[in-house]
Amino acid sequence: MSFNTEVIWVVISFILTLVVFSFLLGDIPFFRFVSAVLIGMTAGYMTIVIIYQVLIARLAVPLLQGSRVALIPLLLSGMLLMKLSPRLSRLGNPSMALLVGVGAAVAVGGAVLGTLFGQVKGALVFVDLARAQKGPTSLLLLVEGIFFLLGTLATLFYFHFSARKVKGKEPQAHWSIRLLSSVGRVFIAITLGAVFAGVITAGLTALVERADFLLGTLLFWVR
Amino acid sequence: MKVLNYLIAAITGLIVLLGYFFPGTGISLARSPLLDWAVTLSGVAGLVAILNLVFHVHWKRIQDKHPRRLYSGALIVTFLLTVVAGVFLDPGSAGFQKLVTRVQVPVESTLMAVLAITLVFASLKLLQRQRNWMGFLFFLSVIIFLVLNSGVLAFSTEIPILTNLLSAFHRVPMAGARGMLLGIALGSLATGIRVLIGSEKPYNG
Amino acid sequence: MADIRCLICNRMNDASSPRCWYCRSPLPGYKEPPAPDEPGEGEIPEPEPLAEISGRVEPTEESGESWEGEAPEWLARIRMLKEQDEQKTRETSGLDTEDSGLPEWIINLRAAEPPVMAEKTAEEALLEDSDAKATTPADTYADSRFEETGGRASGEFTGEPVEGETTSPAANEPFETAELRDGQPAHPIFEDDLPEWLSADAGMVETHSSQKDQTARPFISKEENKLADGVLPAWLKAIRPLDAVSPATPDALYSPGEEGEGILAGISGTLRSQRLEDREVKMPSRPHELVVTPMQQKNAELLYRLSNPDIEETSPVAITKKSRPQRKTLKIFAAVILFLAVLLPYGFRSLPVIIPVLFPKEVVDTLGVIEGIPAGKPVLIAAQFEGGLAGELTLSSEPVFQHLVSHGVPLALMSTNASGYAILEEQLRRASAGVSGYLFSERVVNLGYLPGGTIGLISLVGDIRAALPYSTALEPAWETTPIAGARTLADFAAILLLTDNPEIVRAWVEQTGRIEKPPILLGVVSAQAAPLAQPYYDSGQVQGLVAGSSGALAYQMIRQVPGKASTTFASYQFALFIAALLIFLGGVVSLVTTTGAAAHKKGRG
Repeated sequence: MSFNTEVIWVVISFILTLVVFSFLLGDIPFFRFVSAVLIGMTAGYMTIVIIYQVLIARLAVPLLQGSRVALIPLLLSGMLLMKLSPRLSRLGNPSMALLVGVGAAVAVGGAVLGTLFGQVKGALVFVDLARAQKGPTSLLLLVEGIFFLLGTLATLFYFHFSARKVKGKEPQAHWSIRLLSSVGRVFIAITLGAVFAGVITAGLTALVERADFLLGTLLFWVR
Repeated sequence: MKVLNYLIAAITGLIVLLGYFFPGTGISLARSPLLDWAVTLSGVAGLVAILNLVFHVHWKRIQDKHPRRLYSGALIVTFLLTVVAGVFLDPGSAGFQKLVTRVQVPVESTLMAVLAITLVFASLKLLQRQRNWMGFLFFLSVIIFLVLNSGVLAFSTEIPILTNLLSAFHRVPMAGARGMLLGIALGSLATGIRVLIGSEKPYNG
Repeated sequence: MADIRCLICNRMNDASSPRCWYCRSPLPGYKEPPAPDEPGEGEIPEPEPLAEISGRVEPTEESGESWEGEAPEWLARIRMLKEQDEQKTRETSGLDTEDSGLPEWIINLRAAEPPVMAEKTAEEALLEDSDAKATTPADTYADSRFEETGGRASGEFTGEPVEGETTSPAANEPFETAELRDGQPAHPIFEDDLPEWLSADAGMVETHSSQKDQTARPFISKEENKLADGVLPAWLKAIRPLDAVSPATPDALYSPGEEGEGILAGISGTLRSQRLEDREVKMPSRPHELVVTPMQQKNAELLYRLSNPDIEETSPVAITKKSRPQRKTLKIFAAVILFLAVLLPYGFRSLPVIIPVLFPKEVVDTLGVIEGIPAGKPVLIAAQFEGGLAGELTLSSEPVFQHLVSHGVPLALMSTNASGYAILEEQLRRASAGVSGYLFSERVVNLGYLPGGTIGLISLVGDIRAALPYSTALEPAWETTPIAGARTLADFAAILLLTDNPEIVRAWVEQTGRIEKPPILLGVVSAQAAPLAQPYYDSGQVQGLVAGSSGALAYQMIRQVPGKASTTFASYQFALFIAALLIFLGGVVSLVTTTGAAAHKKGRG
């Protein structure tokens, strides 16, 4: 029985894979149908997960255990559900405000303590590395570190978008910012190239994995 | 009402923010339940989004006799079937999870593969779109990193200079990436502060 | 005797000197010999400079000459010669006036004014000024003051003394008379005597002092016991907000009464604290508009087009209907080539494959961390990725999972997206299938989905038991064998993060980094997230990283345990190389065709 259900699932996967690949030939109705089924199924799956792992585990269970504090999130959740109705939508705003306020604080705290401190420290770590070494290795590390520091700073300056308004001329940033910004563009172009190559690599890995699945399934049936 | 919303956002945000800088103080007592409520509300917000998609967008399409209403119908039927299956089967059961691993993953993986092919095809005209030095640099970078990722240049270990050169080039994106990460962090910081001081009120929808 | 530093020119002087040898301004801390009209006991005499500033104590005539007797003979001779020169210069320039009670360096500045302007009476200057300028409240105020005084001559234009205000006899005298009575010869201005910044901006000095004289000179005669207007250097003027806002401020606003107050008393152009309400001041705030350069705008448009491909259809460079089949054919052609590149290694096993021999440091570090995990200590595996990259992450995570399982490490699974934990469990089941003696149900607990994204993470960091209280089977998770001993996140040996998004790496780094003893953070990431995740490894915030299929291959090669990444590597390498080749050829063809078309067009034109 278990074997049979597994085979059925494999057949479904096989067919779905082929249908989606058909998109290369054009936006055919069968592909649209599969897309609609996928969205419906994913939405249904998420609904069940939220019902079980959020509504039951986080709201119902504490209430059943007698926690009165749990009434507050219950009330806020009820208010948030009002967002579904255009008339009562405004009642959901306080719940949204709580979400946004907490989210903003988490973003601020995380950015300061996590990325800003960590990455600034990371950008300067070469100084310690160079100190730990001696001779030409130390010098090499120092040069490399300065190069990367310059790249980091220049990239940051590229995002400095303000420019001076000059009468009768195009708005222009200060020359030093423009210079650093130009260097930053070089680093950004290389970095974005690497990211783009990464996206293609990930996609082609998915292609390899799908091709492996199709071939493996075919070979299994042939044998 | 708007003032109340702002006060909720500002006070909760301030409590959570202070908790970062003064851990293990009385603030944590107020902070923990706030975070719990926010987590629960996030889940409910997800549910609101799903119900809105299914019953507002697609149900309306059927009512309005949209040309693609058939697909909307298929979406709603699949949604209901999945929910019913989830109620009868345990969401943690292997049977229910097969919906994800045997339907969602193959379809989405194949879509990713199709995307890769489309990207390669689109990249054929990279230099046609951006004919400047930055476009050219981007073009070169894409090719070099694709070749580096493929591992074809592994033979370079026999040529030390080439190995060092490739190793150095492999690390160049890190400087740019670090600058971008710092930029993103600064952006998040600014946006967060704008929300906390009430310059932006995305909750008053 | 200790030296005294001049407040004006900042040079050192002998403590016995009442005035600065260089700029002739009164020195601080100099105590004059007691005069007959000295204040009585209990009254503290104010030092001369401060007294001049506040205007409460009149400078004595003797104070200006007292240094002469003390000067050595050679110095007196030099000064005499210098005065003779100055006299000649004054005769030629027609300047023989001097402001009594003013520091000589300021008087010198006044001497630099054009003679015509200097000779104008204050009345004429005021009339000219009021004609030339549009009437403002300040002008009206100045005019009314003028009318109140009955339009008296310049020297008389001192205003009526306010009740209770004691004015010196000199203050009530006409301006010219006061100057002549003083009898002190005014030193002409010497270029060399000027500080560099002042001489460099002579034009500014000239304009400013001429403006002052038109209106402010009569007031000086009234307030002669106060410091006269100084001239600020150009850079200081530039940063002064009020001047920056309204450079053409009417001079009538510089009423002497106002300038006599505060620490900046006597210096013209200071921030005025009074009667600001009379003026409509437009603040130099930046407008709420984004100013961008054309290049930035062009880039933004390009980005917008890339993210909205439909726009291109309506753009002037729209693809014609004729070219659509060509595009489709080309796309299918590219797809076929890539499919062949993937499938060929399956058919021809003899195709050459270049195996990497250098292993990335981050992969070696990951392996080292897992090797060092103490027995019985659990590892938290957290996932957040799209189903589309589940295939790639299955390849990438396989060797790491196998390693963990073969070590018998207890595992807790969770995800921050709804479908992640299901895929994660499936991957782990597959990886552990080949390892004997690892009982999945006893060693692994699935904590399920944690909603809230980053908010969920901070909640998890604060109290993991409260954040994820139940397993996916809705049983109390923290009573199960694998994680029974864990109370906080710090009790886990490591956190292994599976993601396709660098933002998730960032969120985990940011939130777990603030724990006092944070667990080791390892990452198995998609190739697309690797470039932006690498800085976190480099900064030591992530201690190990396995990126993409190539990372997994390196891991398998180090452990010498083959897996899916090894068997599919040939296809992977071939596909990537062909893709790079296609893009390169496409670029070359694009360059040649567009350059050719441009040359053809030019030739026609």
